[in-house]
Amino acid sequence: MPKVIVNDREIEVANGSSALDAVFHAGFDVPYFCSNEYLSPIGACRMCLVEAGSPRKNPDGSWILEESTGLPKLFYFPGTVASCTLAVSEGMVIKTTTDAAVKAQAGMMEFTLINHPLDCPTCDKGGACELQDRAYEYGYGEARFEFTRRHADKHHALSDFIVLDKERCIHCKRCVRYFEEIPGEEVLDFIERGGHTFIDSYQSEDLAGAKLGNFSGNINDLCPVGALLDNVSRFRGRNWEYDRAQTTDMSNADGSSIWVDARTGRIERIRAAHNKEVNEIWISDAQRFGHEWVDADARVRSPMVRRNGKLEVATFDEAVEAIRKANLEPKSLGLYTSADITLEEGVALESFAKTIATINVDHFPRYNSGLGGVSRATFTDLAKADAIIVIGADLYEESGTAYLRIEESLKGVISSDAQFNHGAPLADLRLKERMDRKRSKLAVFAPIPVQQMSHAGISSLYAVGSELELLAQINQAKSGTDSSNAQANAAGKLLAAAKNPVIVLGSFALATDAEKVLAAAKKLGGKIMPIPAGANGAGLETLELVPAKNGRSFGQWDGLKGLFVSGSMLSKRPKSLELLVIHTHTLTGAALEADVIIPASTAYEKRGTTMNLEGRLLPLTGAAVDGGQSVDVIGALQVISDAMNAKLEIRGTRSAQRILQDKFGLEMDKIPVEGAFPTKPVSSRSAPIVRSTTGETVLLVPRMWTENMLSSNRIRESVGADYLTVNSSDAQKLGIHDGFNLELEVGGKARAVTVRIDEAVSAPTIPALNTDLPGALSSVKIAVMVGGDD
Amino acid sequence: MGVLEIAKGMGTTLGKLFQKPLTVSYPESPIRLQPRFRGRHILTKHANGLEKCIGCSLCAAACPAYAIYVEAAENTSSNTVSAGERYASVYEINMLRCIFCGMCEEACPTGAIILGTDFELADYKSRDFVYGKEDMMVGVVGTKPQRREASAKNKPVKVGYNITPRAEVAEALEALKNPSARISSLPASGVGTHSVARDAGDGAGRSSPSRVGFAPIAPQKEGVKR
Repeated sequence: MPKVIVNDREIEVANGSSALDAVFHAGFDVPYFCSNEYLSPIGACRMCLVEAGSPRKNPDGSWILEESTGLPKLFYFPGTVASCTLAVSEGMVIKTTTDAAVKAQAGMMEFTLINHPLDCPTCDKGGACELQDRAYEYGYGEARFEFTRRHADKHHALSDFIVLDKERCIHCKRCVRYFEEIPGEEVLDFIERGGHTFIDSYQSEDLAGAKLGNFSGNINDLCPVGALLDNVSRFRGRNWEYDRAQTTDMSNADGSSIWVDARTGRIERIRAAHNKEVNEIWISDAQRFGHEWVDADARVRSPMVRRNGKLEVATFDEAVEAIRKANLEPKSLGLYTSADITLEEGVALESFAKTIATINVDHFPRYNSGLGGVSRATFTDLAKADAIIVIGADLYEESGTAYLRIEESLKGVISSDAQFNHGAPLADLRLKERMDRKRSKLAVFAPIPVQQMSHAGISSLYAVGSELELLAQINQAKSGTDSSNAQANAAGKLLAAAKNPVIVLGSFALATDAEKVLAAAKKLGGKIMPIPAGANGAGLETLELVPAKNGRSFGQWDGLKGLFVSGSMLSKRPKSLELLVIHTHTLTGAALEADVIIPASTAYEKRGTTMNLEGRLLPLTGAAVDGGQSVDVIGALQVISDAMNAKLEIRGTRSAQRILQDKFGLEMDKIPVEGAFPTKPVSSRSAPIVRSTTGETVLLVPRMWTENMLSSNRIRESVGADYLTVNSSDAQKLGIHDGFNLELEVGGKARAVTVRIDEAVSAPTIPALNTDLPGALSSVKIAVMVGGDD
Repeated sequence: MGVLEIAKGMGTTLGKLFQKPLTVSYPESPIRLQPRFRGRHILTKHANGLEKCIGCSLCAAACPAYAIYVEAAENTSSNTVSAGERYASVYEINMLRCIFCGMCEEACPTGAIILGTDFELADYKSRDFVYGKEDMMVGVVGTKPQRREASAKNKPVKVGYNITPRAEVAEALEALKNPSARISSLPASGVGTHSVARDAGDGAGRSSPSRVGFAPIAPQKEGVKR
């Protein structure tokens, strides 16, 4: 390790470290804007100027010595140099506090500010702005330039979610590099030159939100100034006014860490939090922008009871009374929850079901097998894998973190790898712009074309439902026998040569028969990353939240008289039901036909624990959101138990955590924000699921945006209409044409869709909603055909 | 002590009997306030009628009594409220909390909020002490209870004081009377300047981009942090 002298301190840093990292490691500070630990250092902003010099060697390998002292002679760079792109060498001397360095930094700051509008009071970044802080610390404090500033468009919408203020941009190129280096989609670039330079996407003429991809919001966090701003939180509050809470996102099973910024009881903004082993600093747009439904006027904020056929606002006592009146036997009662509740709530439900001795308990969505029985891959395993086989997953929609970690893996540089002894490097010289991606180590198989196929060396479509066949072919090829499927053969060879392979199984692979698919995937060797259907699917399967023998799973309503459903996954009130209690935050689907509504708190308001798809326990800390009288599942069970005169064993998060502590061997209230793995082996439970399809079927594809999020007009407009994507032969069979507007009945739920013809899909596909099991086939009926207008 | 001294003293006392009394029988007659008096806030406007407030919430940040609450929104071409990108859609001051220190006025980058001269704020319900934009906008005479009384009696607001207002207040009131008057205290920085302002032909702040930004501090000699 080279020894480096920073100002007066001598330190040792790893070979290949940048001078910027050496400066920070030594405990000094230099200003920088363009550098970021996950992006390539390019020296664009020129702020990290230092004086540096290093000794040189003679051709024979000996140091060139100073004649007077006999010590190695230092050869200084002629001026100041940008430390982020300078690699350290043995004996290098870096000076950050000399007059020349200080003057260079302040001078550079002055240049950066020449055209900056200084409208900090109106800027959403104000108070949390790197430029503001650095100008204060390193600037002259006063402008000497008396020219008119450059004027440009201050409200340039890059997408429905991102606004660019061209005047504020300091051309650090973080956002441009982000799109190329992280999700691997080059959608932004510099346009024009010199003082006219601005950032734009070539598509933004005909603007539509989806065009910046599913991970566009991360550039808001990256931007060191207020140039790229979150349009959802635009002007909603100043940075110092927010009540911040670091919690875990529950819109998918990634377990991404997020900051929830609330003000006066409303969620105004969500930002990515740093969790280097999970989401690094990236979250998907759904996780970032999809929060408006939490504060929507339509949210249920108090209990409701049906009186004279109408749902009316009521008190909790009235709700208890309404349930008591039904006078149900516990045996004919079913308890069902969505798979995005916390483990604490799950334990409470499990215990309550045992107390009242009902065997009808389930969570939805889930697969017919627990996913914990395999050797689970972590995100780090995924990033470090030398072969990645993705089967039946559209990770772009299903698991943004897995998608980005695979992209990281293709680059071959894991930023969080603590190769540097002061932690993550700020300027990682291993990262380059337009790095060569090792596409050959990624194989993607899916029944429909998915985004990641364009980055994969091996990719092919398979017929819906033929996962087992594909896995068998890959397994055959791995052991040396080629089959007729060339891509499967290539994947098999890739696996055979790999030391640390990871197999990612997504919803398309698991929805039909997870049990068999998991067994087949196990045979391939290597670690497996099965993606659960629900946000806390991995956690809830460790509890007894599946029907016991003779119990009724979700969707099996025969013989049930009363139903408690937490979540919005029930589309219609089952017939022959005497009592329907729904614990929800939105009046949709069956909630409109319910007898009693209990207001539900959202995942942003809850305190508790979740388990992400790696099996990592992550904490949820409630943000300061005003949910009215809403309660979590434990609170809702309190209502039911009061009505049934049953004793609720678990009456709060604390008592639930005591039970979980025994189960996982961890102190549940002390789980760090970056998460922890259980110290005890946990079992996973499974039960068959009810899926019956008749007649025409449609493939339910996973979508990043949940049904709740789509209730926001902004998101609905950005996402556009739901499409029924069919190939032309299917279209002919169904008698539909491109651009037709249809009303469908998908699995008993009415859906309005527009027809899109795409030859690449082997079966008709439609985005899944809350009520659907993504990846599965569902029966479909065309109810109304409106005709097209194309 | 002689008789003379006593007589002198009594003379002074007697002399006062014939002078005009200093006592003001407030509220029957108005009292005289000094120009520096700080009373109920005024939200000012530019000469073109646009609000000066850009909803930046710096007044709320500066307020030692946490009396101010601001919610901002964006100006649109159909609804242009302020000369800038954003305006205050909600601007509330809780007069029970306010200590009339004037920090908000000092923090305001556009000179939008100034402390005015009204001080007769006494009211019955605590929620009536929360003054919104409509209660503080320049041109509104009197406090909430005064205006309520005036409207009940169908009479103009009776203000119980006389004052020669200080320059800021006078200017704000003058701008209201004479909309074409050029206001000298336009923001010096680029603050609140936006295409809207330019479209409105206001040019607020654009013409003087000099001397802007940060508190004048010397560049740090020691780059050492941490």
